[in-house]
Amino acid sequence: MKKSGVSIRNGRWTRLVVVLMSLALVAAACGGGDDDDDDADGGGGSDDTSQSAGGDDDAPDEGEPVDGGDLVYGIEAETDGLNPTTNRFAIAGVEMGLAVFDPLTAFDDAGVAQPYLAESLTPNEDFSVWTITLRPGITFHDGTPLTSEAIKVHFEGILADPLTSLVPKSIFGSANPVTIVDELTATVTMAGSVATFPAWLTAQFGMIASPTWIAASAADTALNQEPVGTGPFIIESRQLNTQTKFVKNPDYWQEGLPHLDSVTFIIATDGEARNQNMQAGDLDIMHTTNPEHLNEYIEDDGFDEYIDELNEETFLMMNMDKPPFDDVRPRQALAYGLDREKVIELNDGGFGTIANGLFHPDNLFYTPVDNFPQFDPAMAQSLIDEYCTDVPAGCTDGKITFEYKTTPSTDNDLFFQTVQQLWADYATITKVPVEQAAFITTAAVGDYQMVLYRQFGALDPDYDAAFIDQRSLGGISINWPRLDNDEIQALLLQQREEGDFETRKEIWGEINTKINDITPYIWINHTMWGIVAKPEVKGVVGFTLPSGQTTYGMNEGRHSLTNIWIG
Amino acid sequence: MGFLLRRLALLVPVLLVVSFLTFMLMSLREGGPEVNFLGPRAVQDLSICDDPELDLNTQTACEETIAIREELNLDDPLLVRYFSWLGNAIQGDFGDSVITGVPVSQTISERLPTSIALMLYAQFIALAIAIPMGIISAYRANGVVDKSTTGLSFALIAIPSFVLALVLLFFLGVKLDEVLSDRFGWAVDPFPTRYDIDASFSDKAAALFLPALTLGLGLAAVYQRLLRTDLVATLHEDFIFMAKAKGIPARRILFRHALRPSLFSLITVVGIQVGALIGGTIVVEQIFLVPGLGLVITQGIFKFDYQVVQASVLVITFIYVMVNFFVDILYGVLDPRVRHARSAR
Amino acid sequence: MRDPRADSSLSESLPSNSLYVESALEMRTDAIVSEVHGASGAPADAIRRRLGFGFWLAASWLVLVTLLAVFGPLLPLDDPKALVGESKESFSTEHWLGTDSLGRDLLSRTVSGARISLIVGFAAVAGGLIVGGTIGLIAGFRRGWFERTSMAGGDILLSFPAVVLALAIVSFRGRDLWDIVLTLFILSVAPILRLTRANSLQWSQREFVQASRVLGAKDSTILRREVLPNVLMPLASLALVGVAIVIVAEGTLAFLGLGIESAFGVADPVSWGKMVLEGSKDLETAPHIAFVPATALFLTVLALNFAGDKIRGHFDVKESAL
Repeated sequence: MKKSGVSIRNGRWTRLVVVLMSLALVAAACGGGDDDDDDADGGGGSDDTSQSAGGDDDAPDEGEPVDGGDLVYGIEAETDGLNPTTNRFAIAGVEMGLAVFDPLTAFDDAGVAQPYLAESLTPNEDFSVWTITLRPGITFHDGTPLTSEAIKVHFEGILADPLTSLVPKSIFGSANPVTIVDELTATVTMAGSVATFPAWLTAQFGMIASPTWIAASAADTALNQEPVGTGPFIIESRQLNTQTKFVKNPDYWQEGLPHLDSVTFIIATDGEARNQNMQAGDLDIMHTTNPEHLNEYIEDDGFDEYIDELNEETFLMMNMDKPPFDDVRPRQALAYGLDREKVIELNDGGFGTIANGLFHPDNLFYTPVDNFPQFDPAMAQSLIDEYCTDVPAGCTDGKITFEYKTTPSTDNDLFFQTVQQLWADYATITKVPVEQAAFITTAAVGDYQMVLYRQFGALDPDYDAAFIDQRSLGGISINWPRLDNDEIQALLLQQREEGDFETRKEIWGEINTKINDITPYIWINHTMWGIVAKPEVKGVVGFTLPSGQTTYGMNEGRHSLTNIWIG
Repeated sequence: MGFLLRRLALLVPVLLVVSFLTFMLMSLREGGPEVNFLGPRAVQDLSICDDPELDLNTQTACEETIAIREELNLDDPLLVRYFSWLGNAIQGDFGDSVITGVPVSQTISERLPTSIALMLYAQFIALAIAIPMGIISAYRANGVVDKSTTGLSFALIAIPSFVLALVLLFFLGVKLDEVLSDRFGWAVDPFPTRYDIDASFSDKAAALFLPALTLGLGLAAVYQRLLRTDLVATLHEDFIFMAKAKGIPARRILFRHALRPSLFSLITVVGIQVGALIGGTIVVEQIFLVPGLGLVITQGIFKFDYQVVQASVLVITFIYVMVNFFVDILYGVLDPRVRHARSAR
Repeated sequence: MRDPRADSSLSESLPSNSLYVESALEMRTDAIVSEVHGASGAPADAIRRRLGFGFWLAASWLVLVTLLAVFGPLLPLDDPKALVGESKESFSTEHWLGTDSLGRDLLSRTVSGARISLIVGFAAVAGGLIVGGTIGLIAGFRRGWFERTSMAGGDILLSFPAVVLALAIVSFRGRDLWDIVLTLFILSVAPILRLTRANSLQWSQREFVQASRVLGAKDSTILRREVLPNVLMPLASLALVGVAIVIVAEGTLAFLGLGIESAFGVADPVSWGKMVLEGSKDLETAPHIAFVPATALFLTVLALNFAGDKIRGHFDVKESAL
C-alpha cells in the first residue's frame, strides 16, 4: 500500500499509487549534480531493509517539466521569522525555509539522509566528528560565496540562541563545534557518537544562510523577515500573517531548476478557510491535517492528494512533575478511560487511524508494540479509585482534577470538549486557554498538567530523541512531559551510536514499549498530513538528488518546491 | 463659522483623551503591561531576580520581564510614558513589535489601505443598491416593491454580519463554483475570495467583492430605509404639492425637488455608519482572510502582539473621530435646515 | 425633517457618534407623524394606537425565548454539553433540531445559549439605563457644568468605534461573563445618556414643569413626577434595540473567538455566536449546525428591533397628542 510515507490518490488512478517522477526526465533536468555520497549515510538505514518506493507501480507519467508559472500555496501557520539560527521553524517555517534555503542533506526515498547542499558528509570511526564538504561555486542570493565559514556561523548561531539551541544542543560537543579545514571543508565535533547527524541536517538545522545576512540580522532583527539563502527561490515580499512571496533564483546551482517563476505562501491558519480557498480555486496547493477535508478531496476527482500518515503522532501529553500526573495510575486510568475511536469519529469524521506508539505500522522503524492501554472503563475506574484511596488530597468526589491548556481554536476547543465529556466519570477538567506564542513556552517550562500535542514526525526518530532526553531536564526543557527514565536514556544513546538500521529499529521498539509503560502520552491518532494540489501542479514530491537517489516525498506536510512545475 | 470653530476646539481634547485611554489599555490587566506579553510568567517582584541561586525557569522569566519593561519604558512615570508614546505615534513611530521585530507602523501602513479600500467599496455597493431601491419604494409607497424592499431591509438589519458573511461565502464563494463546474462544466470562479496583495487592481476588486457585498448589504438596508422615509416625507411637503399643482412631471419632481434634500441626510448617515462599518470590517476580514487592519487586530490579540493591537486601535479611532468631524461639518454646511434649527433654539 | 440618528431602527447607528441626536429628537415627532402619514396616507389615529399583529408576534417570540432561557434547566432536555447522539444528526424526533459535530443536542444548546445572550443583553443595557439614564435625566434637567461634563464623557466614549473598543477591552481585560457585560455596558452608556438627556431637556422646558418649579416643588420630585415618566417610553424603545445590538455584539465577539470563557464559575458556557463558529466548519456537510443558532439569533434580534420600532411609533404619537 503506502510506501515510503507518500501515496498519491489521483482521480484517474483511484488506486493508491506511489508518485515518482520519471527518473530519466529528472536526471536530465538536473544534470549539474556532482554525484558521490561516500559513506554519508552514517546510520540512516541500509538498502535491504528499506521498502523500495517503487516506481514500478502505476506511477503517473507527469510528462516533461515546463518552466514558468506561479504557485499559490496555502500554509497552516506563519513563522515568526525565517532566520534558521534564531527563529524556531515549525512545519510552516520549514516549508517556507525550503524555498529560500537548501538544507545540507535531504532524505531519499528510503529515509536515508543524503548530501544535498553539502557535497559529502564523512564521519570519523566512532561518529564523534563529522567532516562536511560543500559544493564549490555556489553563492548566496546576496552574492556572498558559500564557504565553510557559513557552516561555522550557522551552528554557532543556533547554539548561541537560548531557544533554538534547545533541540540540537544535546548532540554537539560545545557551543563552538565547528573547525574550518579549508574553504569548503569544516569539521563538526559532536557530544559522543552521533551516527544520525546527517538526518539532523535535513530541515532547519541544515539550512545554511548567508553569514553576511546573519551578522546583519543580529543587529537588526527585522531582517529575520528577509532571509538570504542559496535556495531555489529568492524572497520578494513578506507581510507577516498574510503572505510571503518568493521568486525564481536565476542562478540556482542545480541547473534547470527551479521550474516555477514564483511561489506565494498564503497564511491560512484557519483550516476551514484554507479548505474553502482551495475548493474555490484560489489556491494551487495546500497542506492540511484535517482528515475530514482530506477524505473529501480523495473522493473528489478534481484534485491530487499526497498523504503522509506514517510519521507524526497526535497525542495528549501529561506533565509528570505535576500532581496528579506524578503518579502513573491517573495517567494510565485516563488512557484506559478514553474511547479513542469515539474521539476520532467525533473530531475527524472517523478518518484517523488510532495510534498506539511512536510509529505507524507502515513506518520503517515500526516494531509491534502491544502494551498501550486500550479502552476499558472498568480498568480506568479501578485505577482512579485506587489512586483516590491512596492520595485523597488529589481527588474530589472520587475524581481527579486537572487543568488542560490549549491554544484558542475551534478545533482544539471541540477536541477538549470531547475528552472532557468522555472522561466525565474520572476527572474534572478545566480548560485554560493559552495564546499561541505562549503555548510552547508553557510546555517548555513545564507550566501545565495536560496539553494536546503533535510530534514525533521526523523520518529518523533520532531527530525527535531530544524530546525524551533526560539531559534536557531542569528549567526550560523540550522534554515536555518531564520523562526521566534511566533505561530509556541509555537506549537513546545506544541507538545514536549504532550504525546498523535493524539494531536501531529494535532499540526504538524497546524505547516505545518503555514509554507506553510510563504513559506520559495518550496516543490519539497518527497525524494525517496531506497535500492537496490542483492536477496541473506536478512534481510535488520526489525528484532526483544530486547523489542520484530520489527524494523522500513528503513528510509532515513539508516537501521541496524545487521540482514543482505547472503543466 | 462659530459652529465650525467650536467643533474644532473640541477635536483636540477629544483626541488627547481618546489616545490616553488607548494608551491605558495596556494597563488594564492586573499586574501591569508586561503581563499582556508574558502572562503569569511576568515577574511582579523584580527584587527576587537578584538572588544568585535562581532556578533557570525563574531566571528566564526575570530576563524576559526586564526586557519587556525596558522595551516599554515601564520604569518611567505614567505621564512621561504617555507623552513620549504619543509623540512618537504622531511621527508614525509605534516602536517594533516585541513578537516579530517588525516596526508596528510598517504593519499598519501595509494593511490600512486594504481596509479603507474595503470600506469604500462597501459604501459604494450600498449606495448603488440603496439609492435606486429607496427612490422606487418612495415613489410607489406601499406598493409591492416598497413593501418587499422595506421588509427585506428590516431583515437584513437584523442579520449579524458574521452570519451574512458565512451565508455569502458558502453559497456564492463555494457552492456556486461547484454547481457551475459540475452542472455546466464551466471552470470559472465568479467570486474569487483570495486577496493577493500583489495582484492587479481588477483582481483585487474581484477578491474584495464578497466581503464588500457582505458589508454593503447591511448598509444598503439602513440607507434604503432612511432614503425612503425621507423621500416620502418630502413628497408630502407643501412645495411638492405646489410643484404638482404647477403641472411639473412627477419624475422631475422626484429627482429635482425631492431627492436633493434627502441626499443631504444620506451623506450624514454614510458618515455615521463608518462606526458600524469598521466593526463589520473586522469580522469580515477575519472570515474572508482579507489582509486588512482588522485581521491585524484579531490575530494580534491571539499572538500577544499587543503593541500592534494598541496602535491599530489608536489609528482606527483617530480616523473615526476625523470622519465624524468632517461629517458634522459637512452636515452643518450642506443642510441649511440644521443650521436653522440650531439657531432657533 | 429628521435626523437619521434618531431612528432607532437604524440599529447600527446606536453606538456611533451622534452629535445631532438632540436637535434631531426635537424634530422627531414631526418626522414620525409625517412618516406614518406619508407612508400610509390613511387617517393616522387608528394605525397609531394599534401595535399590530407583527408586534405581538415579535413579543411572543421574545417571551418564548425568555421563558426557555429561565426555565430551560427544568425542561426535560439533554445536558447541552453531553455527547448524547451521533455526530451531525439531522432533525429527528429524538433531537428536534439535530446534533452538532460532537453529537450534542442542538435544541438544548440553543436554549442554553439563549440564557447567555439574554443575560448579557439585558444586564448590559440595564446597567446602561441606570447609569446613562440617571446622568442623562439630571443633565437635561439641571444643565450647567454637570451637563457639559457628562456630555463630554459621552462624546469620548462615542469616539471609539464600538467593536474596536469592545475588542480592545475584552482582549486586554479578560473574558468572564461579567467582563463581557461590563464591556458592553460601557458601550451602551453613552447612547442612552444622549437620548435621555435630550428628552429630559425637552420635557424640562415644558410649561407645566416650569410651573412646578415656580411653585417651589423640589427638583427631585419634579424629576420623578413630571420628567421621568415622559422620558421612560422613548427610552424603553431604545433599550429594546440596545439589547438587540448587545446580543449581536456578544455573538460577534464569540464568533471572533473572543467570547465568554466562563459564566458563574462554569467554563465554556454555550453561546449562540460560539455555536455558529463551531458549526461554520461543517457548513458543507451539515449546515444546520450553524444555521440553527444563527436563526435563533436572527429572530431574536429581529423581534427586538421590531418591538422597539413599534413601541417608539406608538408612544411618540401619543406624546405629540399631548
